[in-house]
Amino acid sequence: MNEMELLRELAQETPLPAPTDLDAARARLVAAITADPATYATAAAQATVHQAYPSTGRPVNLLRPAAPAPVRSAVKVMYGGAASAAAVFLIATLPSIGDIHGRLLGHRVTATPLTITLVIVLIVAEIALWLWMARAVGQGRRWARILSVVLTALATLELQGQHGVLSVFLAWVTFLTGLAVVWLLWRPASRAYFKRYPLRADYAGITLGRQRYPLAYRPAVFVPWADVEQIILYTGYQAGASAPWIGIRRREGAPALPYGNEQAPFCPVPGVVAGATQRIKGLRIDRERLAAVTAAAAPGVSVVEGRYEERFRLTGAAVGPALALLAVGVGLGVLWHTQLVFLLLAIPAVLALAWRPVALLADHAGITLGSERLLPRSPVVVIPWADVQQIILYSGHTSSGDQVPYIGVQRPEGAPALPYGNEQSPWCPVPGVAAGATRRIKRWQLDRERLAAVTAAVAPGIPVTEAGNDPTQRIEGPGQRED
Amino acid sequence: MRWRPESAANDAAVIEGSWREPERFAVLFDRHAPHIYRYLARRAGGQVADDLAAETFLAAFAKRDRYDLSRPDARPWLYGIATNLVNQHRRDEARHYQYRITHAAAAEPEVPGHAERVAADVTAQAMRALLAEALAMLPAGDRDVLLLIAWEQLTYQEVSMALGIPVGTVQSRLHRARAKVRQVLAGTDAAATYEELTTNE
Repeated sequence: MNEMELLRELAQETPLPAPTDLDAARARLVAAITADPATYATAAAQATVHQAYPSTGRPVNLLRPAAPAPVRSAVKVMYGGAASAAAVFLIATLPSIGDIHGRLLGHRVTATPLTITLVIVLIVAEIALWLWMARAVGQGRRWARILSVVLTALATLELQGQHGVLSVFLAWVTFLTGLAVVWLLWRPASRAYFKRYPLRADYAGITLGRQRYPLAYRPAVFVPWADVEQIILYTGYQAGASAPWIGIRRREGAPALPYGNEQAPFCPVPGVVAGATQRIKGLRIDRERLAAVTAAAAPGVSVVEGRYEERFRLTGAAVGPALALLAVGVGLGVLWHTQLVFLLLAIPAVLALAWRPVALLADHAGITLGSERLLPRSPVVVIPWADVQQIILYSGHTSSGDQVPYIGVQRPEGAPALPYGNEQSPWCPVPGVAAGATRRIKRWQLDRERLAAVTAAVAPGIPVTEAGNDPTQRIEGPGQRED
Repeated sequence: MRWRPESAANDAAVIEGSWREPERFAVLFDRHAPHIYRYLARRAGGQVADDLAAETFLAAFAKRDRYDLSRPDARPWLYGIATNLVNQHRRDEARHYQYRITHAAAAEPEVPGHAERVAADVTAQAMRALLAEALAMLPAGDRDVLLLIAWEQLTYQEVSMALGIPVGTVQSRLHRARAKVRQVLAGTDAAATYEELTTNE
């Protein structure tokens, strides 16, 4: 036995630590992560916590993070802008130097009192605008960041046609300060501060942002991790339209929410109250990050992915004609000096580009197969899970002979007839799959892992089979896959 | 965005992700903390390992933006930080070796049994004391290399990355350290006896 082996034997005396041995070290790291400026930078700017007090009943903003450095600099620069405007105001209104008003400001101050008043009002307004904008930017208001660009663009107009030293000075100061502010506010470090977070998960808990309804709104709701049992992503409805929703199932005995303590109307999981749900339509929820934060902050809480949606994507086939239509619209509009042609041609083109219908949706209700044809539209097919035996992925051919992947749903015998295509699908290797229950995976992409994960979550036992390779092979959810 | 479980991402991706989303760094802790903790416990003892492991990850978190993303495995980097920390707490490490020396020398075989078995236990304890003594005598740089290779099974390349020294230096330090340990062990006939006993078993 040589010295290396002896050393290894010595090392064997120290086993790996028990998980609890690492708790203290982990807690210190978590504290450092929570205190990290980047956490604040990426955290919600809009999050508020509803509290029973103070008596005003207004939401109390407890979770507002510290502004990142560029935003703080921008606020200072804006105060500088206000200060320079104030300096000009002082000089312009000092009575003792009234004679030089005209020379400095380029206005005939002796002309009418109205002119003087106007100048003063304008400068005071500018000071007020600087201060108001600085406050809004410091609070992370999205509109303030956009308005800063608009105001800076307007400030370029002031650069021309100014006379008098002070006016030119003020115009340039305004413009340059505005440029600096815009630059600071649109830097990557600032971007996250202005992001709207309807949902925030951090080491304290989950915050669902303000929920807007047509005629009302529900204030933000904060649920600490201790009260969270499960996070559910599902399909909800508002004003008749379906949209992705997120719901939090809280443990029994959790304190009542200020609003909506009844069961959420469309949530398939019992025990989720309406006040602890949130519509996330139009916002791309970063599932990966939500899962990562949940796993780090509350390892016992599961995230149930109960919705998987794919939409048709923009492809060259759609972009080409739409751009051509746009170009013709603009060209004819310029040629004939009329906006009518532009409106008639370009707006449909833009709408066609923006319209992205659902290609596939798997949620608690079942599988929705979107419409492939645009004109005339073929009906959307919804197959409830009770009618789904298995989901088959296979490859078929287009009319031009290209190989293209397909997705098909095998239904049991005696399932209700589909609106169309009740004959056997031509390419599907599995018998008993109706053509109307299959779709080409073309102009959209299928994430098989997510489909399998959602299927496993909402309809356990229904296999997702790849018939192309091995008919018996099943794709399981990511948690069960061991590579 | 495609679903990609966090565990499938490599360390470099986790660290890069943590630049913008610091909470991802916790993944790195869950992945490597047990081994780093054990390494620190082996070198400086269980009492300070807890503290040093926390400091290792705090230091790693603080300088995560300087991590070289071309290295998918963060273990050498973490071992490097842990080793530096141990060297800052050299007094603790020395105390730990001292404890091992005295503890091993004072230890009595717990279960009375076969005479040969008792002799083997005594010799093994003596060997451990000698080893601890030899380790305590090594220059810090040589000891780092020897223990990262012998205990943590790092390759030359990984040790070179961890300590920021060329591979050639790793090899020469290892050679020197092994020679010294061998010399200390050979200074007594315990080594021979121990070897004899273990090979006879």
